[in-house]
Amino acid sequence: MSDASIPTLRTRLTRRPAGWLLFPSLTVLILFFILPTAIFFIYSFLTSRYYRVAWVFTLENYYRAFTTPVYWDAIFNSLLIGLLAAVITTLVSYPFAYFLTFRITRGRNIVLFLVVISLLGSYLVRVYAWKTILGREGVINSFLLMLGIIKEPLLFLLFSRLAVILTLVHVFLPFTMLPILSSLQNIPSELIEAARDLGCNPLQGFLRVTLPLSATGVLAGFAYTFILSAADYITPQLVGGTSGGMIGLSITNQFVKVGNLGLGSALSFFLLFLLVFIVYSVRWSARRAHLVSNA
Amino acid sequence: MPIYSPSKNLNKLTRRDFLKLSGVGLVTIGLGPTLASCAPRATAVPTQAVGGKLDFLSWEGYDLPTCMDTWQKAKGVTMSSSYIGDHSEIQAKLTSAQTVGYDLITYYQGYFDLYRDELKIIQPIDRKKVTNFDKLYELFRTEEFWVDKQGALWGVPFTWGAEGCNYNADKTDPPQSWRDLLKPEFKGLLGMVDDMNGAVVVAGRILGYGDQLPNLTPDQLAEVKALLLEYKTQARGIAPSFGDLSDLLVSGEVIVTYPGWAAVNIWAQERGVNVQHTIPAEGGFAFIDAFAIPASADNVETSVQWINEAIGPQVQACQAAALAAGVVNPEAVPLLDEKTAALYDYNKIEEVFKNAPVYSLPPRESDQFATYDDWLSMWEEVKAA
Amino acid sequence: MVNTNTVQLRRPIRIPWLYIYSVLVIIYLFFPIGIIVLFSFNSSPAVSFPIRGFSLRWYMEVLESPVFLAALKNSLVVAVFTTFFCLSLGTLAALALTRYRFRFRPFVQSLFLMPLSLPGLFLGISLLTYFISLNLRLSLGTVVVGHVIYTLPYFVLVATARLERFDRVLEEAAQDLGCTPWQTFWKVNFPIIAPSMIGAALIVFALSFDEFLITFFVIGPESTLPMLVWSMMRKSIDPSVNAISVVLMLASLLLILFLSKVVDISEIEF
Repeated sequence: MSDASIPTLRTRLTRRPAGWLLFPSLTVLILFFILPTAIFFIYSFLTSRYYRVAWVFTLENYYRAFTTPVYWDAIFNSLLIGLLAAVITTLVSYPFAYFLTFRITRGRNIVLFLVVISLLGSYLVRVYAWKTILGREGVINSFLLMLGIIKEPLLFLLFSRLAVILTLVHVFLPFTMLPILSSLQNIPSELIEAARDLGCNPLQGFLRVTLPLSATGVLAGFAYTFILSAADYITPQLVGGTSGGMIGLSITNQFVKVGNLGLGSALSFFLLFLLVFIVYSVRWSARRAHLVSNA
Repeated sequence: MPIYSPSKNLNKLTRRDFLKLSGVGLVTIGLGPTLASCAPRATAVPTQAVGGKLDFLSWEGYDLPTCMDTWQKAKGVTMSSSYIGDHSEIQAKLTSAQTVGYDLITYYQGYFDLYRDELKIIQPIDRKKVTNFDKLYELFRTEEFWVDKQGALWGVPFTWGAEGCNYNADKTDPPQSWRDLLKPEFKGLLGMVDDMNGAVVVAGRILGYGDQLPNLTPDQLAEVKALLLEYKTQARGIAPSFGDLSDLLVSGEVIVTYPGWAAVNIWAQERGVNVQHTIPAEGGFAFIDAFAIPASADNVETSVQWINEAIGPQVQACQAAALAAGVVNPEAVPLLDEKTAALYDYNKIEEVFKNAPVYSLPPRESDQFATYDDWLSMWEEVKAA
Repeated sequence: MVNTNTVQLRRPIRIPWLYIYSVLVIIYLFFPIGIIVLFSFNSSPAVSFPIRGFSLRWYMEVLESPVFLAALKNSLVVAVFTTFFCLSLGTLAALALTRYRFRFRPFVQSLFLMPLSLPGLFLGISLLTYFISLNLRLSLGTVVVGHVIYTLPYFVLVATARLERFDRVLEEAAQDLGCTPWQTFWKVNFPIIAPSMIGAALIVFALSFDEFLITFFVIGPESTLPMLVWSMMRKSIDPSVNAISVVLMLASLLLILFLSKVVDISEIEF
C-alpha cells in the first residue's frame, strides 16, 4: 500500500526480524490450519464407514454430493439466505457506521462498548429472544393486536425466511459494521475536504471519495456475514420453521449422525468452493465497477 | 486526534505485562501440540477404589446432579459433565475414543448393536457389582438391548418415556387417531419435531408396518415420506428439539404435535399451559435410556458404583421427577410425587410398552431394507420440501 | 445517549434522517437485549407475554448451579487464553507484514486472512479430524487452538490496518535517536497502536466467549457456556438462559468499567 513512502527506514532495518516475528504465528497456522485442511481435503477422496476412514481412494463422495437433489436444494437455500443476510446487513451497517464515524465523537465509543457487551450475552439467547418477539403471541403481535391494527396474529413473522434474515442480520450487524467503521475512520478528512474544494457536491464527494475508500471494509464485512450465515444452520433451525434446509446441517449430519466422513468432507469442499467463488466474483465486480479504490 | 496522544496510564500498566505475557506465549506456542495436554485430565484412580472425577457425556440432566449429590459427596466423586444436543454426538465423540477420556455415557436402546459390535465403544459391566439390577422390572432386565447372547451386561437402563401426541387440553380434545391431525382445523397448528426416528416410526405404525419396524423396504419408506409430507403441510414448524416443541405449545404457536413426549406435559404445565399426552389408536413408541461405560474409560469402578446407586429406589424417584420420566425400579414407585406417578400406569407397565413398543434403529447397511442413511436423507428431503 | 455531544467534525452538512435511521438501528440492536433482560426477571417460567411478576428466581437458580459456574469458568479460561495467544501472535505477525519486505509477503498476508473465508463448521470439523489422526486428547486446550485460528485473521486485519496508517516519521525519528527496532516498537509504536489492540482484543474475547460451532466439534469432556445454553435449550426451554445472558452482559459491563479506570476508554478503537 504505502510501501514506497519511506525507503530509508526499510533499508536500515535488517530483514531478519521479519522471519523471526512471523515464526510463531506461521507455525500455528501451518500446524493447526494448513495441515488440518489438507487432511480434511484428502478425506473427501476416501471411503469411510462408521465414523472412520479407510485409505481407499474413491470419487463416490463427490459423485453423491453433486447428484443428490436434496443437497442442491440445501446449497441453493443456504447461498440465498447467506446473500440476503449479507446484502441487507451491509446496507444496514453502512449508514450506521457512517453516522458513528462522521456525526458523533464521544457517543461513538459508548455505542460500540454497548454493542460489544451485547455480543457477550450469548448468540443463542439472542436468537431465542427473536422467537419471543416474532411469535404468534409474541411482542409484535401482542402490540399490534392491542392497538387494534390487526385482528389476527401475523404468522409470517416467525418460522419464515423473514425471521431467519431478521435474526441473522441482527447477529452479524456488529461484525459487518466494525470493518466498515474502521475503513471509514482511515479516510483522511483532508481528502473529503479536498473533494469539496474541487467542487464536488456532498453526494459526488461521497461516491467518488468516501465510498471507494471504504470499500475494503464493506467487502470484508459482506464476505464475513455471507460466509458465516450461509454455513449457519442453528438460526434457521430455531426461527426458520419449514422454510428450507441448510447445507450446514447436512454436513454436520454426515459427520455426527451417519459417520460418513468422506461425504461430509466432499460436501464441505463443494460449499467452500461456491462460497469463495461468490466472494471473489463480488470483489472482482466491485473492482471492475471502480467502486474499490486502489490507493 | 486522540490516537496521537497515548495515555500515560496505559503505557505504564500494560507495556511490561504485555512483554511478559508475550514471552510466555512464545514459549507455549513453541510447545505447540502439547498445549492440548495442559488441560486437566481425569485423576488417576486405583482400579478398585471409588472416588475421583467422572467424565460424563450425555443429555443435560442425565448426570442426575441433584439426585446423586449425596452419594457423590459421601464417596468423594466429582462429575465433569458435557452435554449433547443430539444422541449421535455420543458416538461421534467416542469414535475419537483414544483421545477422549469419558467414563460414563448413556445410550438409547436402538444404538446397542452399533455401539457394541460395530463401533466397539462400550465395555461390558460386571453384573455382580450392579446389585440393584436384579430389582428392576423384568422387562428392563431381559431386553435384548442391554444384555448380549453370552449374558454379559453392557448397559443399565435407568429412565424411559413413551412418545405419542401432545395436545393443548384447553384448546382441543385428545386426538383419537394420528390421521385426525391432518384435519383442516389443525392447519398451521400442528408442531413437528426434528426427531427423524420418531417421525418415521410413527408414520410406519400409521401405515400398518408396526410389526416389521425398523426394517422398512425402500417402497415402504417412500410411503412414509409421502405421509410425512402431508403432516408437514399441516405443520407450523419443525421444532429442533422437544424443548422447543414445548415452547411452541406454551407460546400458543401449536396445539397438537407429531410426535410428542409425556415429558413435554410437565415442562408446559410448569409454565401454566394445560398440555396433555395421549397415544392415538395406531400407537406410539417408547425409548429406554441406559447408562454405559465407554471402552476408553479410566475410572471404571466408580462408574459401576455410580450406576448401581442411580438405579436404586431413591435416586430413581428423584430422576423421574427431575426428567419427567419413568422409573425402572418398582421400589421407586411409592416414592413418586403425584404428578410424576401420573405420567405412566405402573400397575400395567407391560400395557404401556405394548401400546408404545421399543424399537431398534434401522440397519446401517442392508440390501433388502432401507438403511439409516436412507431414512436420514428422506427426512432431510421432507424437512427441505 | 447518542444525540448528546454531537459535534460536526468533518462534514458540515446535517442530514437529519441519518440520526433517525441510526436511532432505529440502535433500537433494532438492543430491543432483543431488552426482551432478554425483561424476561430474566419474570416470575413465570413462560417466555411470553404478559409478564406475571417480578422475581429473581432465575438468577438464584443460575448462580447456585455448579454446572453453570463450571461452564462459566471454562468459557473464561478459553477466552482469556485465546485472546492472549491471538494478541501476541497477531501483533508480531502484523509488525512483520507492515514493517518488512520479504519474499512471499503477499502470499503470507493472504494466508493469514484465509481462515476468515472458512465457516466455523469447516474449521471445527477439519481440526477434529486432525486431532483424531494425531491421537490427541480433546480438551479445553484444543478449543483454544480452534479459537485462535478463528480469531487470528480478524486480529491481524485490524492490527495491520492500524500499523499501515501509522505515521512512520515517528519511527524514523526514534531510529535517528539511536533506538533499536525493539526499543522503537515499545517506545513509539506500542503506545500508539495499543488502543486499537485493546479494542480488537475485546472483540476477539467476545468471539471466543460466544463461539459455538468450532467448540462443539473440538471440545473434550468439559462444557463451555454456549454448549451449556444449547443443551439446556434442547430439553426444556429454561428461562434461566435469560438470566445467564444478563449475568454475562453485566459482568462484561463491569469489566469495561474496570478497564476505564485503567485506560482512557475513549481512546480505545474498534
